[in-house]
Amino acid sequence: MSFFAGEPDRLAQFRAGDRDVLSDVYRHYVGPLSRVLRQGFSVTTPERVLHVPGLSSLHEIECAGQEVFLRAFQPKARLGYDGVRSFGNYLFRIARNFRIDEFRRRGLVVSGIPVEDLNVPDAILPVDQQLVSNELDAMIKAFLSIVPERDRRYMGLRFEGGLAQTDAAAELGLTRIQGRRIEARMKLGLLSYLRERGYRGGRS
Amino acid sequence: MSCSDSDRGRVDRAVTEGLESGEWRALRGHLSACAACASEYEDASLAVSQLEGHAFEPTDSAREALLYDLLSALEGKAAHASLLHGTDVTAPTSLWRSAALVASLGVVLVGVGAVLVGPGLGRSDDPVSESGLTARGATEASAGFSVFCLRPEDGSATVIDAAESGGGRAAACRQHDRLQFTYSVDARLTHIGSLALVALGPDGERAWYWPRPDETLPVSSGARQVALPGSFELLDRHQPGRWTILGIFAPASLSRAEVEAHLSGPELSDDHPESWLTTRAVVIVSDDVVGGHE
Repeated sequence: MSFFAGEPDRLAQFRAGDRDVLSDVYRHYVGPLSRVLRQGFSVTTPERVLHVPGLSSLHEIECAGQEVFLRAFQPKARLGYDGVRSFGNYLFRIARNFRIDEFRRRGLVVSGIPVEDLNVPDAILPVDQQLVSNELDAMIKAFLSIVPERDRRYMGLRFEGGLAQTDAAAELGLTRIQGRRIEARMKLGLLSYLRERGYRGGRS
Repeated sequence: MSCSDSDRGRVDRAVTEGLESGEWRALRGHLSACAACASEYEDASLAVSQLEGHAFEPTDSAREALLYDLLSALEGKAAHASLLHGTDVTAPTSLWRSAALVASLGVVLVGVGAVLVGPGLGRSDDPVSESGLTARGATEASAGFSVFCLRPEDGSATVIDAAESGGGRAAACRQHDRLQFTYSVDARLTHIGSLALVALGPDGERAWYWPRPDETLPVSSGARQVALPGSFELLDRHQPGRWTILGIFAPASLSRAEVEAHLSGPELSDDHPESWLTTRAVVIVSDDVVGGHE
């Protein structure tokens, strides 16, 4: 369902470039867009199927995603979105065209590209990424098992319970600032913990 | 080559609690030039995003920083905050391919200059003279370029300074640094198809970047901060002093002779010929005293 389905006011604000609505759209779609950019695209032409490979590094993905959002949020693009079609697919088409443009700049000819919709990528990670994720998950669990109870509970409320900082902190009788400090300390602590154990992400 | 402790600290703060805007942008530029720190960023982002429940996606703090940059760009606060991805840019070597990434990021000058200026190298606030050409101001410019001064270090390159054509400040570089360029062309300028870049030295000497003898530089309207291939070392012929880099956007490929004729014309102006657009940036080149390349 479109982010704007049944929300005519939101659509009008989006078209007007309302900062809060643009922020909501960004936060809603940055994850799926990142997945699309990571997995790449397949484009069927009359002659062949062309695979535009995905980007491998998160830094590259963030840079590309920024450009895609910038294009999608331009006034002309905002007005060009009808609010009926899936905004995700609209965004992913921009992403695909952006990547194809890059290939064209390199002199690779891509012609006859159809305009079929792209689907929101599955939340299931590819096998290799799933393995990395599983290993990392085990290490994170081990890390959380040795931190203070209050901090562990806060992190559970935040990221398993999906609560905002303010709400997670309030559950524990803390202020948002205190919650934020716990969160920063825990994240930095996790990075130190992982490095001490030779963690290298997905790299050998 | 490894990521320094201070850079790693910045990476960690970027993915955990977030950085101030200028420091964030400087870090983004550095990540494009430094493979070691980019790997650190990758690892740290993966760990933190997994902890946050959305592995392989930007961390919460990175999302907010990117969103801030995005909104700033949309609102025109940062004319070159467009973070055009440039991994496919062709460049002579991997070192300079990395540097091309930096350029393609369109790093905001304030962020670059404030954080990455090396020891012994002051920022140049030398205003661009308005004599000679009538440079198009940033707000008026419909086509322009940015020049980045890169310094090779330990197999990588660091952005030292940068300047925008039509901007108000010059970039400070040393001999044997390298220059790299990005360009932007308003989508309405559909007639623009090529770019020539040439620098005029303190004594009027020329340094040609584009066209090369056997290569022209096609450009596209609608491009934003697209990195040009390759980089150019500030060899000894770039004598110390003020170098004005002219960017001439034209409908078709220009030969050096055509550009030279344009430069030597009796009344050089931005709009001569009518369909050409000329804009410029200034680089202040200093002696390579500290660098020890002699």
